[in-house]
Amino acid sequence: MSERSYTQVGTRPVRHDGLDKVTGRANYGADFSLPGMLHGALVRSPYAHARILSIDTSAAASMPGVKAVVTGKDIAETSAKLMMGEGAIDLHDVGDNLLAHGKVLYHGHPVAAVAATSLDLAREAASRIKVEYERLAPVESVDQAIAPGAPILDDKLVTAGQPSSAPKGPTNIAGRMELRRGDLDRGFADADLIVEREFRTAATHQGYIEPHACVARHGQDGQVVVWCSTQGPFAVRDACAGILGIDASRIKVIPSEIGGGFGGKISVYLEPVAIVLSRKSGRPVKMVMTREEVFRATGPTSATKILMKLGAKRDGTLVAASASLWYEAGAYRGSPSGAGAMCCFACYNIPNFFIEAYDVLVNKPKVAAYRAPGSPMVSFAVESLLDEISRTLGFDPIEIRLKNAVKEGDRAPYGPAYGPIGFRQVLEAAQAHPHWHAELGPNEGRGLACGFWFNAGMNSSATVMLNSDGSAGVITGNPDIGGTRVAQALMVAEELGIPVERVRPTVADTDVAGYTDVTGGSRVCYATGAAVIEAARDVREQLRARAAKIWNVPVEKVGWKDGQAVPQDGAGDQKPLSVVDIAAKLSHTGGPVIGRASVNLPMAGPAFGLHICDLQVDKETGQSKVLRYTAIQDVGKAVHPSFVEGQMQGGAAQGIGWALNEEYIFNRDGVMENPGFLDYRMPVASDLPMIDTVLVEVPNPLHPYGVRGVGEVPIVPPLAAVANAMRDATGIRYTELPLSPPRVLEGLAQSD
Amino acid sequence: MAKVHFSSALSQHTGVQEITIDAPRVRDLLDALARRFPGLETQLAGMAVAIDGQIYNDADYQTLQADTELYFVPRLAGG
Amino acid sequence: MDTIRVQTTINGEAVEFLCEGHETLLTALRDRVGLTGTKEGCATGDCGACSVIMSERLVPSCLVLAPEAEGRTITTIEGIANGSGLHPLQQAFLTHSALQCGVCTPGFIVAGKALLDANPNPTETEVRYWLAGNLCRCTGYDKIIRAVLDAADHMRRSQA
Repeated sequence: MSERSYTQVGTRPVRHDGLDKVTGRANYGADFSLPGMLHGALVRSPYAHARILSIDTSAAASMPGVKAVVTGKDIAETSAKLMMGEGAIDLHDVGDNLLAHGKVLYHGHPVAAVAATSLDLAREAASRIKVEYERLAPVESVDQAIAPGAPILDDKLVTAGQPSSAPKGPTNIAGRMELRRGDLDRGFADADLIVEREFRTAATHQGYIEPHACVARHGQDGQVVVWCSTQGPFAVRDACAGILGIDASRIKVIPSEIGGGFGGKISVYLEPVAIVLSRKSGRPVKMVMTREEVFRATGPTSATKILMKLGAKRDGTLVAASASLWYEAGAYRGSPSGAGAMCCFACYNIPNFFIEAYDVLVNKPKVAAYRAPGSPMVSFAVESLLDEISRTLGFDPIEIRLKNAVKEGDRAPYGPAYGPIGFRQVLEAAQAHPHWHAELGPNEGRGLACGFWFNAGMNSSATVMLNSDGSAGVITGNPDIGGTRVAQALMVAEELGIPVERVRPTVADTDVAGYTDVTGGSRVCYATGAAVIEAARDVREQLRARAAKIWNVPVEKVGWKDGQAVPQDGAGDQKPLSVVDIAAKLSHTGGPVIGRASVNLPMAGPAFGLHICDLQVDKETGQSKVLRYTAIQDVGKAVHPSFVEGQMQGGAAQGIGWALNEEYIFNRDGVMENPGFLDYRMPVASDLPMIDTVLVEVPNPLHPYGVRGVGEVPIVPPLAAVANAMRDATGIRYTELPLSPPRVLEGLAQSD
Repeated sequence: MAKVHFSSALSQHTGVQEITIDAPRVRDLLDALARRFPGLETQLAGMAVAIDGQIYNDADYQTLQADTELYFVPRLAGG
Repeated sequence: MDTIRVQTTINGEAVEFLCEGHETLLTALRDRVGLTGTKEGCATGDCGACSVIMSERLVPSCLVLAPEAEGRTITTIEGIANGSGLHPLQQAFLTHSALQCGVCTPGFIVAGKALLDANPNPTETEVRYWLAGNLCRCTGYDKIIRAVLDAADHMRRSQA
């Protein structure tokens, strides 16, 4: 791809929605109200595993002010599937998660819902609904779930991906996947050094500051409007349509501004219930989760148990690797164990490997996607083992990775060859970075780790409209979580040659925007951006035709340079026409100009990151402090560099929290003991230093500007970067996260 | 002609690790595979297709060249 | 439960609202007065998204009972801008791209204003510890801290 110079892409304008957000004017999910609105509250299971024997709603339904009560009976079980994202999303499971049918599968599983004239009243009514349960023993870990005689969550479950010869019968293993290359035994036999360890990571939550919220109105005519905080208005629409058995064209979803998602706001937890409550009551219904509900009943990511073994030759070449990945799926199938299998050895050329990955049901909330789902956990394992190998063999950590690093043309563990990728460049940037060479003080350690993630393509649509004053608008259906509106405006500005301040980017509802897949998967600047660029070029082509009309020449005689239509040979003596000039004459030359495009792109090439972490450990208290942190990543092309840096810094902070403090703590009855921000301890400003970023740009040939996804990779390296820094500071190899003070102290005590 | 590679899990159903199929588009190739390996269709349902290294979630009507390399990979979207 | 009438001053204006005794100032601001800029992130005083300034003190409005606003002065995010001009903090957040999803931003700006009113020349460490009561999940805090330090610098210079 040739080096192109840009006039606006790569600059850092103030985002168009910024003013609303710094003044409190921007409307998020809970900020919306409708006249006559009711408030909804959910009744949630007090047990982690139980059969529902009966639900008596009469006491609630008879309270004045209570306008509707629903249970699982009001949302029929569906076998519909939604083809989106990770293949077929089983709406049966999503529907059962909204309101249980028959069994409750985790503490907090909703069984009924109430709509009333005030939130207090709705909650009071909910507390008067009598549910009779038959308690069942819960399974609370992978080990418990696969033990012989374990309680079974779903006795109809069949393990997906098993060879047909495998034994059938009741199981909690929802799926198995394997990847294999070469001859594992020969590979390990060839190795001079073999390291093998068992790693464990806890469930962690996406931690978005805004809880889920929606308002739904089901009209007497069957038309439905939903206002909600979501990463994907079309995902909400199609999930509601599938679960409720109605046409997508009868539902309009208006996305509010979204207060964080990270993958956790792709599924629906409230909207179909709110719609049914609205239908029954004849009034709009608002439902907002409390923080406790967010923790107890929305998807964290999987807790994992990972057994991993690496074999290397004395010269640092990796020759063999094996991994057993066990991921907790929660109450329904669908952990990212498969993605973990694809990622775990993706950074390195390993000629012989075997990976098996298991998706395991436990009595905990159903896991949801969380930023590079599946990858951080396996990266923790492989990068920790590489750290051990490099120490034992006396290698510099970057040198050993350079020796084994994948490059264009090498085969990914999941089969196909890599296109242009920037892993080598990222490693070289780390070698050259001053952080890597800085001095360390007492009780300080330095760790380095790499990370890999795919970047989704999928479906996107864009519309670009030209106004008669030469300003423009761009419409997409992608909620703006991290600055994508301004990135889209920059792309339109670049293509049309108009200032970015004259482009108005809009996030529209499902009636106005063309279909688009979610904001997530690191895909908006890549896929939606490609659609935006194509739509802007469509406008440009139409402007060329309009100029041809004005000059009365064939359109082939009209060129385009620096934002202007310019005459080409044979076009006569014409002055160039700017966008403003042509826009002024739209009505005369054919009417309004609207550019449009829709794409379904293949995955962008994967992204590679490398993080360097300096940690200071207090050996008396076990507390550690991140003193210095650098994130290096191949970003393809940074459209708005500040927001690319922001993705890297935010992902790093989440990963640091995952490494040092965050975990779901369950008691033996399967009840989460820390469902709040005090005890689910995410990093705060005083925990972190400035996070330096280095943007390496190896263009992705599938995007007109070379954009590669950036949002997810940054959460992958921190787990091992922190753990390796801990090893450097204390001499102890910790294999279980988080490295909270009690765990650090335990390790220090054992090593004495 | 497209050269189709099967992962170790899929090759347990096909008995081979790769096969060359003459088909103009992915849809035609999938039909040919379904005829050749009964039961494979269920395994492939919902999988993405890597065509010369580019991974498509919805590949049915992608055209295949004489020397196309094809892999089946799980669909991924991310978070 | 009897409804209580509260008379208070919000963002410089006299405001009267009705509430129940157990309502928080947060829900009163959002649902009774219609000022939805202040956000609920946790309702347990742990995230700072509900930060307001009451009688010149930075408070989590989810832990203040609405009737306590009686006779007091309250500043919310809607009152930070100076008429038609932005407060230097707001401007700095924009130029430093110190927000991604923006839901924590009102709380940070209110907390930042309280900081700079109390300490016009904070060090980076002082800024970080003052703002430790405000959670952000998107930014990793880097650009937020830079924005606050930049705003402090700007305010000192324009007063000099």
